[in-house]
Amino acid sequence: MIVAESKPLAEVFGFIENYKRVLVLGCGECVTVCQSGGEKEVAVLAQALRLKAKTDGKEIEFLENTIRRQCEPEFVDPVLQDISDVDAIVSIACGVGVNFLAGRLGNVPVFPGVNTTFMGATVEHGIWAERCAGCGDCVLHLTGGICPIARCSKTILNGPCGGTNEGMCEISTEDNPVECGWALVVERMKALGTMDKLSEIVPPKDWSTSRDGGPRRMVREDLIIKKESPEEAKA
Amino acid sequence: MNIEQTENTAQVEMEICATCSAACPVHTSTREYVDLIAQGKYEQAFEKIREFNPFPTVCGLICHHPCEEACRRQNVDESVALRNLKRFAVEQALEYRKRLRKKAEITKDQTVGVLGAGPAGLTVASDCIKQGYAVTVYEALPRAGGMLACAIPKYRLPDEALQADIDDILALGIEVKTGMRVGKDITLDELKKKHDALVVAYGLSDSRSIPIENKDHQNVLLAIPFLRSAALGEPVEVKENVIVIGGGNVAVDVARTAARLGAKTVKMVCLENEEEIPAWDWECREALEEGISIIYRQGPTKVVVEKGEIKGLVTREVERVFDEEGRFSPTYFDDRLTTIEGQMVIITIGQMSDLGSLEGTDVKQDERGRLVFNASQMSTSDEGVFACGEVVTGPGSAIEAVASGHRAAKAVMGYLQTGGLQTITDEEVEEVGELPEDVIENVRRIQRLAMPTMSPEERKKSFAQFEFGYDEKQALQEARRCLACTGGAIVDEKKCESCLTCLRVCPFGVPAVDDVAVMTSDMCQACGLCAVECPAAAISIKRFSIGDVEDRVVALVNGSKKPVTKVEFICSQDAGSGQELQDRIEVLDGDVIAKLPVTCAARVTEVDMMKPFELGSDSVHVQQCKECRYRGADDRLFKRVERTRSILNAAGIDGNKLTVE
Repeated sequence: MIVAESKPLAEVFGFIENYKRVLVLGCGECVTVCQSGGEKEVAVLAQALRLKAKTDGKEIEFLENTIRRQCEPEFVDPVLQDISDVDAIVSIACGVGVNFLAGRLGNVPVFPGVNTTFMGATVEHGIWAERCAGCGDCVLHLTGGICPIARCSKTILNGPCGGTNEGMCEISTEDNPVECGWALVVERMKALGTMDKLSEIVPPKDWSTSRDGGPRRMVREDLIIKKESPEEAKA
Repeated sequence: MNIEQTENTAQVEMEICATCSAACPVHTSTREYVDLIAQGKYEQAFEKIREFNPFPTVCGLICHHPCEEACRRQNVDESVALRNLKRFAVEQALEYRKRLRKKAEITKDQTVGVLGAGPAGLTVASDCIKQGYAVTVYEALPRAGGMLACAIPKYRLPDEALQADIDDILALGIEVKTGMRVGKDITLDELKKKHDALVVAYGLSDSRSIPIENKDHQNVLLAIPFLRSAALGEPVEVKENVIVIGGGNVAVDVARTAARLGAKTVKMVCLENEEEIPAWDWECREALEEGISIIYRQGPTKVVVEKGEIKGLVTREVERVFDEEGRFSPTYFDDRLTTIEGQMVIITIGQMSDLGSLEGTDVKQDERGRLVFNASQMSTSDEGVFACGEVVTGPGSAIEAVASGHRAAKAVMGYLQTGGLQTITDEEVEEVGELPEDVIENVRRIQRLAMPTMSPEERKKSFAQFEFGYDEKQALQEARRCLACTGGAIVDEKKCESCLTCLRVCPFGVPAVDDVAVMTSDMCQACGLCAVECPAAAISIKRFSIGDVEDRVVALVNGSKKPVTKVEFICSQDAGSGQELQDRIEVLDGDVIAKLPVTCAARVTEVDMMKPFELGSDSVHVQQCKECRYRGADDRLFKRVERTRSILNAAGIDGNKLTVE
């Protein structure tokens, strides 16, 4: 899932303090699961903003709503049609949702209520960790299913480096323990009996599929039916 | 009824009923009235009870409480004392119920005649008049109530208690003609001409006898006439040593009545052994406490009379009571005889109806003298004449008579509306399953509160009611023992994200999550923790509204004449009075405090805790109960308070103004 965490209240309030009628808009997908952007968090943020507005002497009305997914036109558009009277939106969907709304809203500004952090998994209730960097050229088949891009602090493909220390990365602290991604790869490959695979020479990774190639887009031609223009239809 | 209607789409829609409600012949919504008591809403609890049963007082005192026998709390410790709680609710509504009394509007031209003013007859009358039919009840005895009035001893059911129920029913505008014996004072044909439908609800007003030697001696009495005389205050002389033949509940009533009327010794003699005896175990226990002895496995053979006086009862030992197929078929050891000494014998071996008034009418009887009766249509052999209660069901309890009355009322009204007989189907309910072992382990043990009673020595001196009833504190304590079966979590599948939060926070391991979360009614204890924690707000709790705390804060703070300076959320688990369960404003040391009781402090959300500050309160306090019954709930609450404090700090309010204890 895409993991996000709440922005500091003051920062969010700073975005909207000069508006009168603000919609706090949640998303019912990933950010609900990681407890930062679902219906419950919408209520908490809206209430926190009301308090902040009161202490700052501002009169702002906060509305609340949650969309199933803020990244689909069919889910978003009906809600946007109903909110023509709001001055601003605070979206607590991931950055995708904020982008998506911004592209469909006329003169109503949309502000992020969360910081979108990573693609990750639940470690335990309340702890999430990054597991994928979305590089677009998956190498997991070479590394026993442990991603060196996402889980090695240096994103190196020939680790572990000298900073590994009893399975932990050198950047690890007590508050933020970071496992050495390559130590995990090695342990996993040992367990699978496939350590020899690590000796194989592989071609350099194609980073153009990652951010290096600019904004990415995926097209499935088999799913697209080109709509006829009126002229074509007539002919 | 405690019905859980699943609101989701994927799960098959079904109704699940709590075991207590399923076991009740009228499916009283037990969980709901117990919950209302626990919330201090006693009058609403009374109304909930009466929604199902026009005899709430009677049943609060003498019901055989099949609900308690079915209560799932038994698997944890002991069943909830539901009958005692019902009595408590009724006792809190003594004046309230009088204010509710009003005549039903008669909107139909047809009228109904009911023969017999016992619980079944009065239930029919009540149901029919509420639907707009004028009803007249004909009762042979001088007062309404049937066997409740003339056979249940006053120490169990005082006159005024029964009268409260009857007064409520009659206040609907039902006409009762007492002292009116059908066949003598008015004929069935006359009644048929007078009414569009009749209901025979005679009950079992006569005792059966047994063909033993000297059974006609003047000091050999029959149970019902004996109890009736005692109940109606007629002079009844009992001898020093009384022998009661029989082992049913009526026999116990007779024995205890004889003891109260002055008998020095009372011995019950029954065919059955201690396990087989048909009287309820608590009735037998109370009788034994009062010094009555029960002689098991003896069958009466003759009453010994010498010089015109009864000297005792000869019995023979019973070999077996039931045959291999479980049918009543006693056999005896003819050579094992015993003489039990006594000067009076009361025969209490069963009852029957007096159907003499129906002889020669179209309301036929079978070869065994029973009414010809179609149970599915509640009809007799005569068109437009229906029957209900013990006259057709055989001996039963008051609540069974009420259930029978409800069925007959449906049949009568169906007939009056269509002109034809209707098949009355009982509401089918799916009962909640057994409480699983792993849930049982996690439910905190709480001792059932015994009903305060007079000592056996005291109570047998008079016909005074010997059970005192719960006081408010006791009732609240007992009501909180209810496991709230079927009152728990409902998942809105459209909102559920299968995030697993519910599964991770539930103290009882209830949720299973696949495509969506599934809450098993068998297991859910309705604590509400999952609903508060659910990030998708996809869970509601049937028993209470999760969002209501915020609404109540707003109503209370905005409704206060003086500005509220402090809001307190108080766990209601330790409340000892209804007053403590009300949303209220209290002034203490200059603080104007808004106090809100909550079912569990862990139900209080971040928004609930922030709201008072927005409304102008200076501080908020969350008060937990002494010992939370939901494992892990307090840890969740503390975490939530910590988070709310940091939000408050960020909003420019000192987070330490929010306290928890």
